[in-house]
Amino acid sequence: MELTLEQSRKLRATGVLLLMGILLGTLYFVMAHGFYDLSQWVMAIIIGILIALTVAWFEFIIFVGQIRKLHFYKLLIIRILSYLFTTFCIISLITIFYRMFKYDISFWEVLHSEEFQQYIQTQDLTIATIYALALIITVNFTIQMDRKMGNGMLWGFITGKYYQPRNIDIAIMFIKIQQGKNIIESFGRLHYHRYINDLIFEMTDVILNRKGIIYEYVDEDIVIVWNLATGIEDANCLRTYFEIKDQITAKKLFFYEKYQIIPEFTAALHCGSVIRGEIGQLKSAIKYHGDAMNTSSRILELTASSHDILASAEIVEQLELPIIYQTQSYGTVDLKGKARKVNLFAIYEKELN
Amino acid sequence: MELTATQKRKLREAAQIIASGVGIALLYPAFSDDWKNTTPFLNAFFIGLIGGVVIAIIEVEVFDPQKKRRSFLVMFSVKTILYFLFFAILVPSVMVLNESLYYNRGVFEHFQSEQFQNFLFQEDYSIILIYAFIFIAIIIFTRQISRKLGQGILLNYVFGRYHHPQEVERIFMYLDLRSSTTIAEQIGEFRFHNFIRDFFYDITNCIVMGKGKIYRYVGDQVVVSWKMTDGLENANCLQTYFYVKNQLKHLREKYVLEYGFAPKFSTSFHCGEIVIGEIGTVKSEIVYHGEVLHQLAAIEKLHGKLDLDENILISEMLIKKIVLPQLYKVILVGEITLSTQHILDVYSLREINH
Repeated sequence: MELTLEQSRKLRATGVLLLMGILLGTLYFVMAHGFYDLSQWVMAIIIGILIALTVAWFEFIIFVGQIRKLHFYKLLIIRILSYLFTTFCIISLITIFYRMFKYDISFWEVLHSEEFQQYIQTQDLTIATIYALALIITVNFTIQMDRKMGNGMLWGFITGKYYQPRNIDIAIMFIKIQQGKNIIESFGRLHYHRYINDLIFEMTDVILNRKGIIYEYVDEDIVIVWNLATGIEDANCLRTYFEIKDQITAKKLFFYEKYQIIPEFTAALHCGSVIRGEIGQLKSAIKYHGDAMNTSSRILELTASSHDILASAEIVEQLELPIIYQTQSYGTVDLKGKARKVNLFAIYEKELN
Repeated sequence: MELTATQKRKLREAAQIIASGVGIALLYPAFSDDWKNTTPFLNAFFIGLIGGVVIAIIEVEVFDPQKKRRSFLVMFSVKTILYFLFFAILVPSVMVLNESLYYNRGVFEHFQSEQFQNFLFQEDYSIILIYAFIFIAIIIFTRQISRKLGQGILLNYVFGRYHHPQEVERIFMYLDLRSSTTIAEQIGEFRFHNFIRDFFYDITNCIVMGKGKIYRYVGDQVVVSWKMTDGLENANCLQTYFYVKNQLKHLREKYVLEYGFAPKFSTSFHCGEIVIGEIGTVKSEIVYHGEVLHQLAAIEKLHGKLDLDENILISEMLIKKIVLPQLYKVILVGEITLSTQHILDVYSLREINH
């Protein structure tokens, strides 16, 4: 069975969660019992795995879609309650099963046994539940932060990966949301803000599935970057644009009902070598600096609704063009503030019979 | 006594650290001991208070970020280990003192008593240490991340203040590095990145002193925002320009030695109604949307044509609201077109005796 991009992304994340469940379960076992009783260890690991699976199930199947637009703290409360309940159930059930097998007695016998009652009353169960809940919240909070900060930023901050500026090759895409002025004029700034936010919401999953990194939002522009190799692979960078277009087209009615407008946007695709580094101390940001960034934004200025996406020759040469798309030369263009001329291509979807 | 903005910030941070110290310390006996006995609570309170005060002083005075740049992991490990060791000594000391008063016996006598030795080697001590370690690590981690994200951003992520967009009134400043294209061509992209990094680094404190909030970095430009009250008070927003000017003058030799150029900059100020809100569920950012920023960009462009005493341009709108520092007077230097009927005058500053 071929997994979709989204499924494989979630599968990877589940793997990480499972690993953490096993590790943290082991940690609890070591703290509580030392290294003596291996059957307890197995139990701790089973609990860890089950909790990790529950978290994965909640995070990737239940808490998706519109619910993501909720307040952070509302989501946090919902999460705490759901996890408190499930972890409590998992831990008590597993401890009961463990005793059933160990002493070879029935479920009810365990439940009524003096030893198990003591386990509940001496607060071991409470401590285990609190431990699990605290860890789930910490892990979850970190995942949320990581999401909010954008792909890999948190990890980069921690390891200091971006601390020394480095020269890297990236693929760059600038997307411009058109008609912004119209919306401001007829509906006002607040509406415009919501419009941009709704569009970005629709784009986000596509970008993540295509392994893009959302670099920044500048007014009505969204800047996405890829490691050059990742961007080229399976034409990820180009497909991102067309998949976003498909996604927005599918949501056409929603946008028309809410804003009386059918979203239009254009894009510029380019690649090159840039400097990536961390700047600022009170508000740190990972920045990409270099000629390639400027060139991309200049190419974007040339796009209009008639030329959906303009790509530079540099990136077109490296892309293996998917069969449903075709390129058309846009000519050699003088870009504002650039000494060198740039050879551009427009990319279209082929008319299929 | 008037406190400076920096001192206020430090006091605020210290208070936060002390409050969380006491709170977390009190949480421990609330869960592990019964509620009848007050000694554990007294112990916890003093441990939290003393620990909080000491850590707060170290955090704001020794490790204050304004002074030096070190990598996240190094700072995190150093701090966590240091504070942990401190607590490892603090916890038994406070308990010995407190309990010896309670049981009315000498400090050493209580220390050698079976009850206390039991605590140290068999009972709670190791658990308290783990508890302290986990919370120290969490607090340090959160503080470091919060600092990286910028003023108030982390809090907003959690409480979602700007989750629903709002119309607010703000003052904005564009601060641009001048002739950056020339500099970039001369010293190369790589060193230019470092040049910008150092430049932003050196002016951050000036922005904080002027109570401004860094909104974003765009290329060689910093965008700073003020709430109206903060910016208008003592003309804080315009003062920021002078802070930056003096700071760069102070540092010009360092720049010339390292890059062969001293940074020159220009600033533009404007104010008005704008929408603030959070966008994106991945890579969430708090952004401003509105005409003010576009108009400000148009004002900033005027710098290219003008030769000014002070590299500062202020919109008519802001001039009407602000009380200028006494030494300066305004001069009309240009205008921008808002729409077909409306134009906006643009002013600069000049010293009075010129």
